[in-house]
Amino acid sequence: MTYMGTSPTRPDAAAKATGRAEYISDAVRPGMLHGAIRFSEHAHARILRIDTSKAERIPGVRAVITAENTPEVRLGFLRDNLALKKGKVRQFRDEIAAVAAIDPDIAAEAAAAIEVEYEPLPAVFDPIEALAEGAPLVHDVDPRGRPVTSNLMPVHFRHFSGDVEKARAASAYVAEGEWSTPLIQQTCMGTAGCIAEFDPQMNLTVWAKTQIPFLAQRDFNGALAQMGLRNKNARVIVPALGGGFGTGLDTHCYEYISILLAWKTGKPVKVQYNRDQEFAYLSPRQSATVRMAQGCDRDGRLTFRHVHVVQDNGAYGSWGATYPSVMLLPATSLYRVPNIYFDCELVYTNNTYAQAMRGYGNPELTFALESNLDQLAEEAGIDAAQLRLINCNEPNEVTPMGLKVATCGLRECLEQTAERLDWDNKRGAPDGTARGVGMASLIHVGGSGRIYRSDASGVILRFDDWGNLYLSSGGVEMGQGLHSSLQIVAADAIGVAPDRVFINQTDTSTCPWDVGTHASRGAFTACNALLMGATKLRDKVFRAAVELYPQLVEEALRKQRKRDPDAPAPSFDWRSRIDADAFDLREGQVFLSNTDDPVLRVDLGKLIRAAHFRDGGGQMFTVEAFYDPPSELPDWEQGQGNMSACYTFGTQGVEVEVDTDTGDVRILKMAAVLDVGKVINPQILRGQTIGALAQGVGYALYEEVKTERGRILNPNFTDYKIPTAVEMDFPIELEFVETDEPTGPYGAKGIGEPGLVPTAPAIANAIADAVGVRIHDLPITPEKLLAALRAKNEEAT
Amino acid sequence: MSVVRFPVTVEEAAASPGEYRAGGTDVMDRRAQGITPIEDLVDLTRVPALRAMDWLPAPPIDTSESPEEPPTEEELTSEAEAPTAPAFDPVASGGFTIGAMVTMAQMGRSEDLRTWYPGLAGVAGAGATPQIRAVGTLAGNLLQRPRCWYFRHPEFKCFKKGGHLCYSRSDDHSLHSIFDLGPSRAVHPSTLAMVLLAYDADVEVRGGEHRSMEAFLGDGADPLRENTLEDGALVTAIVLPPPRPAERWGYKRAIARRRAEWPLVEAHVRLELEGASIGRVAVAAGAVAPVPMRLRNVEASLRGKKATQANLEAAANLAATGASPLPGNAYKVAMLKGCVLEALERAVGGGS
Repeated sequence: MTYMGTSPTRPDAAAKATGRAEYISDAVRPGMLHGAIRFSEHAHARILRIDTSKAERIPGVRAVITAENTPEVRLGFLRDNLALKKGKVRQFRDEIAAVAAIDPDIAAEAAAAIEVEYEPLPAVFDPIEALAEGAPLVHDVDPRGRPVTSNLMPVHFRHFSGDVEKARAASAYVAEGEWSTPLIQQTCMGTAGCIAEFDPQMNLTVWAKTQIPFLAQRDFNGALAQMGLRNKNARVIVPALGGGFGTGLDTHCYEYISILLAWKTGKPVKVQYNRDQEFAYLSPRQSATVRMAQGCDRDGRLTFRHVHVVQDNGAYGSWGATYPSVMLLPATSLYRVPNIYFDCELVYTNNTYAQAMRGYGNPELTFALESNLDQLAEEAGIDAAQLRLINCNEPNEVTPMGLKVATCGLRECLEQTAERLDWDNKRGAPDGTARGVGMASLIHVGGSGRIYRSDASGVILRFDDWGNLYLSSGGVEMGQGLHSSLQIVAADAIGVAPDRVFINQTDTSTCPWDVGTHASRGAFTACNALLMGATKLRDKVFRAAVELYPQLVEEALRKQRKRDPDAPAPSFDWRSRIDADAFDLREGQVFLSNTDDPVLRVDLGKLIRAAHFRDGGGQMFTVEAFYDPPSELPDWEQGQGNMSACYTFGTQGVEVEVDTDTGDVRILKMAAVLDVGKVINPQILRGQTIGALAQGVGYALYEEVKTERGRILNPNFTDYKIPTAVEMDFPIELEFVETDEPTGPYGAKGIGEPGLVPTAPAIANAIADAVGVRIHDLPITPEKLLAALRAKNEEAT
Repeated sequence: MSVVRFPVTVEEAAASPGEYRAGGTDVMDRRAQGITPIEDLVDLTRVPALRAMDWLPAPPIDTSESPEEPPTEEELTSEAEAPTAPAFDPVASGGFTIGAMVTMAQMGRSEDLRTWYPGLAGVAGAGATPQIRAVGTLAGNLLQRPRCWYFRHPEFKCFKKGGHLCYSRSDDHSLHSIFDLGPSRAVHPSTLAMVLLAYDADVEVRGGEHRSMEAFLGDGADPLRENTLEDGALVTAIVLPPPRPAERWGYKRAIARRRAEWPLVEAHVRLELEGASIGRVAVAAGAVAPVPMRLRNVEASLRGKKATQANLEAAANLAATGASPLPGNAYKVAMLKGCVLEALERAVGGGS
């Protein structure tokens, strides 16, 4: 292989570096109007009256819509959300009305001029309170109009294996506690937006910032049906994305609102959020509380794990409500545990409704699990790294959830991390400083994650007359480098130079189906589909070569003799070797394997043109392939099923220093060792991993969407703190373990999300090692640390 | 339709109706987010007179000298006690003026400030982010409004916006004041104000009036403003008293994120050693009250004492005297003592 493991310039680099990539915020359509939304001013209230008359009179306004003058459009996998709210609002950001106008300022002015009269209702903001008897009901009826009696969402994820109570009683050591994680924002650099446009036949095109173009097409087609536009189609085009991080896993109210405005006005309508709006009106990551207990025997072998999760979903259900599907991975399968209890309660509240974010429940659960494991190590008097090694997952095991782990480099990840941290000398060292080291591991889906019937990805490959390869994939490039992976794998698998591989903009009208770019599945599934397609395409080329190669070589030989009558003839009888299996294609040249005579190398474009213009019927070189990973859709009620084709493992280690006067945590060093199967592009892999570490550092130390009775208090980058380059200015040692996963494309596993999964518990464990206090709720702020240190000192005196 | 005016002289600026805009890093946010009603703007970036930075002819405007402690000739010329400070230049004994529109980056780069007022240059050159320092101005920094999330949220009508409530008292006050000086618990956001308070600087207001930092900042009791500047008044410069060649300084901020962030608590120390004893000393603290505070009791406890660790700790322990923290910000009491101690240690240790 020539290009696997190298870092050719990624295909989107030049356009992005020169500002020529077109993000949704850049996109313009002829005659386009601008939409603005009027949001709720209450967390929970009945809508008594909406007066749009003032807004309608503002010059430049083309339409004002409410639930009263538009068809009802329902969304969300539970169908519990309406594009425009009717009857009552359930959160501050509920969409009540919207305006289309000739420019964004007029639209905003008109949206503000809409008068809404409310009757405030009692609201509930805490998921535990929301579950109490007599709590205000966020939804009084279900989507079918049947009365509802509780704020518990009708979504169930459970797992029970073995006998947890018996195992607990028999355990030599037990540690338990409760951990909580905050609402955080995905903070994509590219903010959300869309354009909706109907053609004269009333077919719809949506330019959407989405990670799921084909499921979005299905959702938008559903909306068209709800609008009475049956047998019409929605086409989804994905512009350049400035980050997704889970925000593109659902379709959003603002998208349906722009569709309704476009339908009402007959013009393209754009809705574009700025940064403040993105913070205020886009769904963050769920907050969760995890109660966790684990036990071990005298030798440190884990005996049981008991997990109970309460998740605050806010007012509506997004795909993010299915976080527990991924929480099941670490809960059942990180380290070897025979007896497991996992249960969760997903709760409606009047908080802003949450959605997916990188890691999808895994960081929340792993924070509790790995923090708790350090406590258990302390109880048992066993070194924390040793405890993890004793219970380490190994290759070729089946976990209690039924995950079939073929390759697993966790042991090497743990050992390498310990070595890079100088663990044996630094852990628990009574050196008089407030320095400490900590580690945490991860398991995540590495071979896509089946949460939908199809977990597939299609590819269409086509050569043009000049030997350029056009690759259409339904996968979304959102900055993570999918297109680079496709280019590298295509170059090696098909035999063309990377810069001859052109990748289509993702568009449901030209690209084949893909379930979505999530679950770290983009490169894994799309490259597997590409490998299947590559075999077909090469076969097609070689079959054409059987017929056309001889005449092309003869012609080349003729030309050569003309130029140089003394040129030597080929050294062997090449004609006798002609056979479809005897050909190879490399760097855009077709030749018989094992020869390097230049005159016997035929330019691919020349061969294709010969096939195209052949007498008696030409041909084209287009193939398709469809890859659906060998995995199972789990039974969620039982928490059973091999949801991924393979699994990614890793360990992170951190060394910190704590200022005990100010609670300041300084990271001195990080080590991240990941079992990635195989490295496709080392530069992009490093970038993905370091970016994930930065998000993990933010999750651990800085980030929190602060709310006050449902209002977001810090909707801007001034008050919502992500790490900057200064906070990330410490040595990071990255190591990639190559386990060569048999199901992976050239052995690679998915690696998009895992980098941030164990970062927060590794930091929390290092802080505990440094100063002897453990913070159970993220982020670990100076105020929480100082309070804990003071409590510890008071206890000591 | 709102208007932005671009005067080129101080008089023109004063005659222009509207809110003054210096670097615009705060006023434009407040305007865009509808936090305080701002329509017309008077942009000050084209007024050259506000950008001057220079030594003043003697005699200086003398508000900095503590009457009980005039500097001795010996102090002014002693090299033994401050080996890193260059010999004192008598030409500069009139003090130093910094125009209102001088940026934080310019202050951080100024050789004069770095040599003679290192505590000020050090803080100005390291605050916020390089982008903010490049446009953020001295007076703009002093006059920025608080970061309180209730004040910054358009839907909370608090004392600072003419309402009748400080939401932080009953709700989330983790970043709020521990000294209860007035109805509002929002803390003053300006680090430079705290440093200039420690420097005994003066604020020069258009018309020539000089107001001491302490008088300029006021007592923190009026929730509608964070200073005593009259509506429409224009700050033209900050005037520093003559430099103290033997001075050492220390600054410490406790901060949630390492940079680009307002501090949780901060402290600034200037002091001079006389042999092993502490002579002149100024200690100021920020982010603990509606205005930056001079910690006079800490200063008094240090003056004349040996600069031992025990004495520094005893003084730092007085830092929160009189504080009445709320349940959610009691951590700031320990943090204030910690910051003051660290700033004292840094000053005694040679300055940083």
